[in-house]
This record gives sequence, structure tokens and C-alpha cells, in this order.
Amino acid sequence: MTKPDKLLIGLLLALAILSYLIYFLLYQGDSSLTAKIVTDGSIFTEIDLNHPGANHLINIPGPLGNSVAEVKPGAIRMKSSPCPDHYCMETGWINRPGAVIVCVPNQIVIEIVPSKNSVDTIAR
Amino acid sequence: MVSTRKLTTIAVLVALAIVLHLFEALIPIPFPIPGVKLGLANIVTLLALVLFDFKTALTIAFMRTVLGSLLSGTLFNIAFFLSFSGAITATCVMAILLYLGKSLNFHFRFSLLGLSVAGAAAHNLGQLAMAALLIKHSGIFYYLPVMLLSSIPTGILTGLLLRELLKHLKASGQLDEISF
Repeated sequence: MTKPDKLLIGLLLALAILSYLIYFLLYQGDSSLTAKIVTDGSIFTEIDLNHPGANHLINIPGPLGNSVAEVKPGAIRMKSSPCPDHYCMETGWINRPGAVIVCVPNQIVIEIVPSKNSVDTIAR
Repeated sequence: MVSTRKLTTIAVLVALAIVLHLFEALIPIPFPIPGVKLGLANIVTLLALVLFDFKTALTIAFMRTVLGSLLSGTLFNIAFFLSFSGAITATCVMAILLYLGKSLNFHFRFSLLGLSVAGAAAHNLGQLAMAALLIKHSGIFYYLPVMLLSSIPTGILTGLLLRELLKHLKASGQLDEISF
């Protein structure tokens, strides 16, 4: 391994840590969460994840057919999807702000974002 | 005019790359992240860059993704576009670094390991960018840290494999016939 090799690996490591830290710091301390479902680049729906008893299924239409997302308090997952590889379903439940479930074949992104003007955060 | 020997070698390399491309799809990956894989086919791209030139390597990468997708039944669907953009980006980045190492002579020379790691990282970046374009959303860059991190061990592994391969090719005297 030559010197430029080590430099390159160091740079990649630094970039990986930096990009992780940016996500981590950006969303630190947000306890009030919203799941944003994006299809074909535009917002399909937004779901308040803090709402008690929010367990329900959401049908999301895509080019391949309907994908189904399941919501429970504080988390969301892709329950079923007509895509061939099911990476989106394997991602499992996501519950952290910034986390995403991506289904490239069915053009769906589920993203957890901090709620904008939530009563909870103001009251606290 | 391309010599028959070169043409034959390119054909063998394309065949080899396709087999590796298809073989890789059979290896289960413990991450639910699209695109994290060993990148075995990148060995052939880098081999072509070392033995021949950028144009030849690009041709092989192009043929590999098109024919590999055709054989696995994914031609022109999402998986094809992802591996296509990844393979082309990787080839370009490795070619640039190889060229830099040859033209700048002040100890700025990457070894096969470094080139391979750079190729793996470039492959992942190209793939992420293509995925972001396809879904029209940049949220997929959430996977950037994992993708960058995974390119280090996978790049080193494929680099080591290529180093062994070249060692054996040299020992067997095959390279004397290929290099012109």
C-alpha cells in the first residue's frame, strides 16, 4: 500500500464519519416525528408519528402497483411492496429523524423528519 | 486496427466480467442496503485499465453491464441503470487516478489497492446519484456513510485479488503475449 493509497482511505473514512455526523447533529434532540412519504418526487402524504394509537396501514401507489406502509407510534416500515428485490421491506422499522426507506423500483421514499410546529415540543 | 490477439483478450475479459457480475448477484448480503456488494466485476475493469487503456476498459464495463443484465433479465430496468452508472463512474475515476499517477512523477502513485478502493467508492457514489435521479429525491444519500465505509474493505479485497491475479499472469508468461 502506497502513501496516496493510505491518504485516499483516510479521506474516505473522514467523509463517511463527517456525513454520518451531519445527519446525527442535524436531527439531534427532536422527539416529535413526522413521516413524509414521497412518490415520484412529490409529497404523497405526511403522517404524525406521535399520535397515540396511530397503528394503521397506508396504501402508496407507484409505477409497479401499491406498496403498503405500516405505522405505529414513533415508527414506520414498508410492510409489502411489489418491487422485485424488497430492499425497502428489509430496511424494517425506522424511528430516527433523517432515516429513510427507499424503494427505487416503485419510486417511493419514506423519510422521517422532525415535526414543524408540534404542540409537544412547545409544551416541553 | 485492433489486433486479433487484443480482440480475443477483450472478449475473454468481457466474458469473465459477465460471469463475475452474475455470480455476485448470488452472494447474499447481510445489509438491507441496495448496492452494497463485493464489486468482483470491477477486478476485470481495473485489469483492462492496467493492461490496455481507458477506452478498452470502458468498452468492457459497458458490455459487461449490458450483457450481464440481458442474461439476468434486468436489461433497462432499475437494477441495470444502477449498475451501469456505477460501473461507468468507477472506470472513469480509476482511469483518472491511474493517469495522474503516471503523469505526475512526484510519488503520487496509487497501488492496485488504492485504485480498487477508489473504484469501489466511485461505483457506490455513481449508483447513489443515479438512484437519487430515478426517485427524484435526495433522501437516499442517508446511505452515503455506509456506502463510503463499505467501499474500503470491498475495494481492498478486490484489489488484493487483482494483485494475485496479475502475479500469476506474469509468472505464467501470459502477459508477455498480451502487452503491446
